[in-house]
Amino acid sequence: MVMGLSVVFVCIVCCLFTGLFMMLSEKRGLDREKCSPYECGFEPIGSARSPFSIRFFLVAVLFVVFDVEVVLLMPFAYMFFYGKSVLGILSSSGFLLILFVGLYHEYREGSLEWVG
Amino acid sequence: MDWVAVIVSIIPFVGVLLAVGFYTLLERKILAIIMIRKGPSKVSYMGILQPFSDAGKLLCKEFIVPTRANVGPFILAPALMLAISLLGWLLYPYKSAEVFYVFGVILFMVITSVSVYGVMMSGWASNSKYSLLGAVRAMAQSISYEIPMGFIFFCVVLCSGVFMFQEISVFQQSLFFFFLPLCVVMLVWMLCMLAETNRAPFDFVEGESELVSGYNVEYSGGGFAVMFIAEYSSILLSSVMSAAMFFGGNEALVGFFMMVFAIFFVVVRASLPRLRYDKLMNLCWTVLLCVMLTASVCVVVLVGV
Repeated sequence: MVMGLSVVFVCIVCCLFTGLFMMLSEKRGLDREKCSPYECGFEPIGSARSPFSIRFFLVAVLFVVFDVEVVLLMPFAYMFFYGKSVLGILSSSGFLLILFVGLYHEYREGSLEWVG
Repeated sequence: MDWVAVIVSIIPFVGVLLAVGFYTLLERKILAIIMIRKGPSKVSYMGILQPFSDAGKLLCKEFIVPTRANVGPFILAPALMLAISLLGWLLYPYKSAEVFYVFGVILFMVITSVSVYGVMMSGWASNSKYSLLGAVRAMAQSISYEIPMGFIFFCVVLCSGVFMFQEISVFQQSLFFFFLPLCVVMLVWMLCMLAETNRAPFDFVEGESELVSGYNVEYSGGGFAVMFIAEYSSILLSSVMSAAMFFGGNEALVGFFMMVFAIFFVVVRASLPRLRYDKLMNLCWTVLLCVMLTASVCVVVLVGV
């Protein structure tokens, strides 16, 4: 109940803010200079939807790999809550070790270096 | 209609919005003290009503939609950012909270991940090179710092045995703060929080010497105000969470350390210079990740034995 109401309230607040500034904001005539995207006082050169560096994409790919590993790691924390065993310690340490080896491989291969 | 439930669900968010207002005032005052000037001191008594007059001014300013921008996403992006960062406050770690999340840690991770979408929308929709570059940088940065953050949560959850923020806080009731065994983890956590909220030493999103103002260059007036509120509420949320995770137990103590962390964010902004972007990425992927992997192994062995 409270959670649903809170979500509804948050949505209402956001809509309210947006509606409020759309209504209250000063309306003046728009001209070409004012509406053009900011670019140090120049006319914008070329399209803004330009391609960007592939590095950012590679970081996203690496992120997916490591985030899946974090997700796989989370149940270990719950497992230790219910019962501690040597097997549990060994398996989770082994998993972390595999992660470390993977990270070292990425580092050696140079996919973690931003420039180059 | 259950009016008590309505009031209980509204009050925390009203409190958050007020807190954000006064936090901006606090930041300006502290920055002013550090730079030996006066700061806002004219509006009402000692400038206490400054945030409200600022908000009023910003809401009344002209809101310009640039040509060939995607109008829908451009207007919706600030609202989305505000909604996401306010929803994070559903899990404020007090026993008096009305909603308890058994897997609150995971909800926190989800919320920090989803907050990237607002930045992406605003950067893409505003049809400006600066905002696109700023948004791409912000995304890469907060994506990479989420991984050490996941490992930090793993360490903390392993120590306390629960995923619920209230329980993590209660676990430290006998003044055995997680700060003591996990001090390295807490340092990494502070770095991650600074990077996640795009704050001062890591504010490449709005590096003024390079990108003017980052993903919010094209926003004026109300849109900018809403984005600003979203940013500051996520800063306050992260300082509450760090207080509950590392200095929990007594609720008054959590409140006190929350203030300490909030002031820490401001003092860091005033005192440290900006890093270089490639160094930031190297710091995350080579240093912090290795430190956190090692720390996780240590915690696993210590907790298991």
